Amino acid sequence: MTQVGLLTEEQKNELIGQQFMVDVYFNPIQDNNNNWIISIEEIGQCNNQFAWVKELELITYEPKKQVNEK
Amino acid sequence: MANSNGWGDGSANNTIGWGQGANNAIGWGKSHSLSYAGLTDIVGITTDTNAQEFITATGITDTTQQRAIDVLVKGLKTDLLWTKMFAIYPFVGGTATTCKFNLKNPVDTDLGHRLNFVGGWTFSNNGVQGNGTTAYANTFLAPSTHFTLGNSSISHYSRTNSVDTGTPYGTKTGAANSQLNLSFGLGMSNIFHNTNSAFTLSPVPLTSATNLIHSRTNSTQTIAALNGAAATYTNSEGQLSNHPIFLGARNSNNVSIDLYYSRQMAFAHIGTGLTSAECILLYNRIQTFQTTLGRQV
Repeated sequence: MTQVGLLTEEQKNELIGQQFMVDVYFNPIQDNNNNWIISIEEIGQCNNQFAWVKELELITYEPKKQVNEK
Repeated sequence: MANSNGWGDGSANNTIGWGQGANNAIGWGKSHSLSYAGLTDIVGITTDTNAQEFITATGITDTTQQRAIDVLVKGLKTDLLWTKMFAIYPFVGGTATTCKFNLKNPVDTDLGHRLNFVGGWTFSNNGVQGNGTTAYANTFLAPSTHFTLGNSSISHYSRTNSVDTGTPYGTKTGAANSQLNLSFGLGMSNIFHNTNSAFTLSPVPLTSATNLIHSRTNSTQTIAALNGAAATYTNSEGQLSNHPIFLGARNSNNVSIDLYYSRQMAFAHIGTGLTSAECILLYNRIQTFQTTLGRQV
């Protein structure tokens, strides 16, 4: 099961458009329960002022259901 | 006269290709122009201007990587493929900074189609790998501004054999017939090349660790080359997306991102239409490049 870090709305807003390491940006997304989450890769590789993401609660990722293309 | 590292002056125009060493700081001298074997290629000193620009921009110092890039660029030029490329991403050097640059135009700008990596990527000397959940990279290159109907190509080199319903690259508008994306490998394939009418590779690929190039040189057919084995498929073209192509996922109408991809990629390109013969030439250059780097599949 894929683990992801759970964000508050405020934390999500703080991370959008910010780099977690040189030349790579955070990408907070919503899971199937509309939780804002970031990946464990973003958490693990973060090496700057946003290192507080390493303290985020980890939850099991539930992807949003995709609408089939027709 | 001996120089500082003890190589001394080579004799001019000799048969083993060491050439005439000048009394410079490192002692390798102007060997390429005067020798038969081309020493500069052997020791990894770049001789192609475009390759050198890329190496300077990325800061790549590994001589094997430098030589691989140099040989790749020269080969693409020899095969007359270089001018057919809008963007080439060799994914060399093992960091986001070395992997983000477009070999065709290695400037750190959106207009230069430098990649913007977003989300959970892993970078290594074997390439770049998204996590299949949040990772994508914006090329800032939209089909509508670079392609014309019946004239486009795109490719990627996957090093991973896995089940994955994501796409290595993708874009679409609100109209389904603008889809540029695919899923393939392990007994299935669906390739959309500016269309809502997918075609299936034949024979069906048994692995996803492969190079796949697909191309249009007209609006009624698509050429697909799997590890250099090219075939033509009847497949009508729809329209060109006006939203930038993403790598590692699909840009869905600039509103959302879907079809996240999790295989390791070791090369990608976006260009004008390639013939079957050109697809084979491109594959051969890519495979030589990967072999030099010791990461071929």
